[in-house]
Amino acid sequence: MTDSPIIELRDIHKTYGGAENCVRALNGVSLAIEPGEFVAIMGPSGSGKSTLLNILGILDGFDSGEYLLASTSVSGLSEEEAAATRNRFIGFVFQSFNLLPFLTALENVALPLTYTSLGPKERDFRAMDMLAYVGLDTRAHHRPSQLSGGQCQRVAIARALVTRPRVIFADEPTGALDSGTSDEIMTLFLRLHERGASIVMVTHASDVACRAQRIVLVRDGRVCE
Amino acid sequence: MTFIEQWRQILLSAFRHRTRTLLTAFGVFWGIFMLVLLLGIGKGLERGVQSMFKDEAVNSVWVRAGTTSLAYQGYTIGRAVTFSTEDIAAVQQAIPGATSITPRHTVPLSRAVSSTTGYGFFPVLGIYPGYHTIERNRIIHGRFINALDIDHRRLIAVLGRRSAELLFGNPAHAIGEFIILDGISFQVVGVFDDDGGESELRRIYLPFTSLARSLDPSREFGLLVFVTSEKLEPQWLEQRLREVLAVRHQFDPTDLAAVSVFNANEQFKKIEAMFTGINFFITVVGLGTLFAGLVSVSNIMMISVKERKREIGLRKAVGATPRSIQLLVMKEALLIATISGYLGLVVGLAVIETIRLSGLEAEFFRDPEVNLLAALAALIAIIFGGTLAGLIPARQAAKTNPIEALRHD
Repeated sequence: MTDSPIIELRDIHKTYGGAENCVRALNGVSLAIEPGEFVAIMGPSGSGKSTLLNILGILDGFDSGEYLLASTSVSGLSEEEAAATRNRFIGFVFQSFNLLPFLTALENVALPLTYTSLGPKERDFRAMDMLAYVGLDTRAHHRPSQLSGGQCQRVAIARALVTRPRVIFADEPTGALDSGTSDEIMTLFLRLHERGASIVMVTHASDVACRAQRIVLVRDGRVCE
Repeated sequence: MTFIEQWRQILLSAFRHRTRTLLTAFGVFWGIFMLVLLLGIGKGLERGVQSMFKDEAVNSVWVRAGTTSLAYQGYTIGRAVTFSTEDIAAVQQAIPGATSITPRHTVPLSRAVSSTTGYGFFPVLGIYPGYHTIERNRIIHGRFINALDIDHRRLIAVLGRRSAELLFGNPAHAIGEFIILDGISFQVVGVFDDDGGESELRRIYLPFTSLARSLDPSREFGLLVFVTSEKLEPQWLEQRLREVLAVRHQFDPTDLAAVSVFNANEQFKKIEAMFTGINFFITVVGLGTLFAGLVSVSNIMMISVKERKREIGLRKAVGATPRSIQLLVMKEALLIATISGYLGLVVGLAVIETIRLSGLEAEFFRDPEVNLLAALAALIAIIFGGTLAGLIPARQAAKTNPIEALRHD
């Protein structure tokens, strides 16, 4: 392990639209997240927090600045390289789970591994291991329609963990859940954090954000911690 | 992802959208089925036309004597023209490359022919040796009429297979036997077969000189036939024949009723050209139908990509490369096109084979068949077309923006 940040943003700028209807989504964002940190990104609608998460997840590019993920610059990556980097370094948890309805929980969890060099048996073994970690090994062969919202989100978390990523990005992970289930999911995130996982979570809910180690506030495309 | 897993995923995707897959597959199936069917029918039409000419030499010229319809140099109209052996020499001299030149004189009524075992009424024709070349007769027993038979006016006969069967039971037994025509005996020296059907197989051929000596002493005949070079221009040939015969028989060379000329080669080429055109049309229509089927694959795959936008976005977010997404869509299009196209090919070939085996024949149609090369070309066209059909939607899928896709409902 090195002491260098797992994520380091330096003066990131991002604008949308043409010259006439230009929207500045990020206006010089600099941010460093250390390995094992649990960071909550908060901010009002339109503040730029989703854009920030998309850039962090290498789902979107930026106009200027520098982004180092695990000490490696992600600027100028080709689409193929970006896909490989996402697969290797990043795990995503979405608000609406984004499970494929025609796959079982096990197959959904194993999905990111299908884009690695692992064989089917190894993939299934690791996926089952992750399902056991989130307490759903008994539901491995259920489809998402046969699972509750909380269970779906746990499957999604297992999917995010299955590639053993360096950082997990969660976009409003409790946004579609009731308070009881939200609490379960947050407990799971805290457990992950205790095990040393780096987590970056975008949320609206202050009670959820309060459970993170650090809160980063985004307003008008700037970070104000 | 292993090779088997990739195809399993593609099959699952096709199976998940059964109706859409079946509709897409039907488009390609129908396209290739129609292409094969049309090619087979085209071949059947071509063979039908060829069979119309198969019992005659395609480069034969048939000159028939008629009746004048124009007054000429003091002669009135309605005068019958008949040919003589001198005309044969004149035609041979006037038309370069004219061979197998022969008169054909048919005795006006089929004479009663009897032998030790049977009798009947048969058409009796007086000819020269070259006539069997023109009629494409095949000797099955004995021999055909030769030059010595003509020179010595031998009383010999060559029977069609059917007439030999009726008169002698077994055609092989006819050789050396005698038939009696109007009280004159003719020795059977040969039995022939012919593709022209029953009427031609009932014929009895005599040397023209023998027929003139015995049954019809006029030595005149109404039909002159010869084989000519295919290079001769048809209009020139007909005009030259009319000029020569008009001088010899004193009729107006422009009098079409006095002499009629049928140039089999000209007719064959005209019909052949027509069927070449029909075959071209059939191929264009067939390929068009196939193309329409492949376009439908492309269209449906575009819809499929749109419907699966969220899935594609998620796959990209978790690490699928644009290339892997592109291959996924292209393989699905290829799978649908190949399986349905292959089925269309097999069913099309089966239908053509069924038609062929059922013996369905008409004047212009027989033995439909799709040759192996055409079938292979169709199969390659499916594989190539299927890949191409998937290319546009596949590229669209590969370009899917995961952020937009994951917001997609």
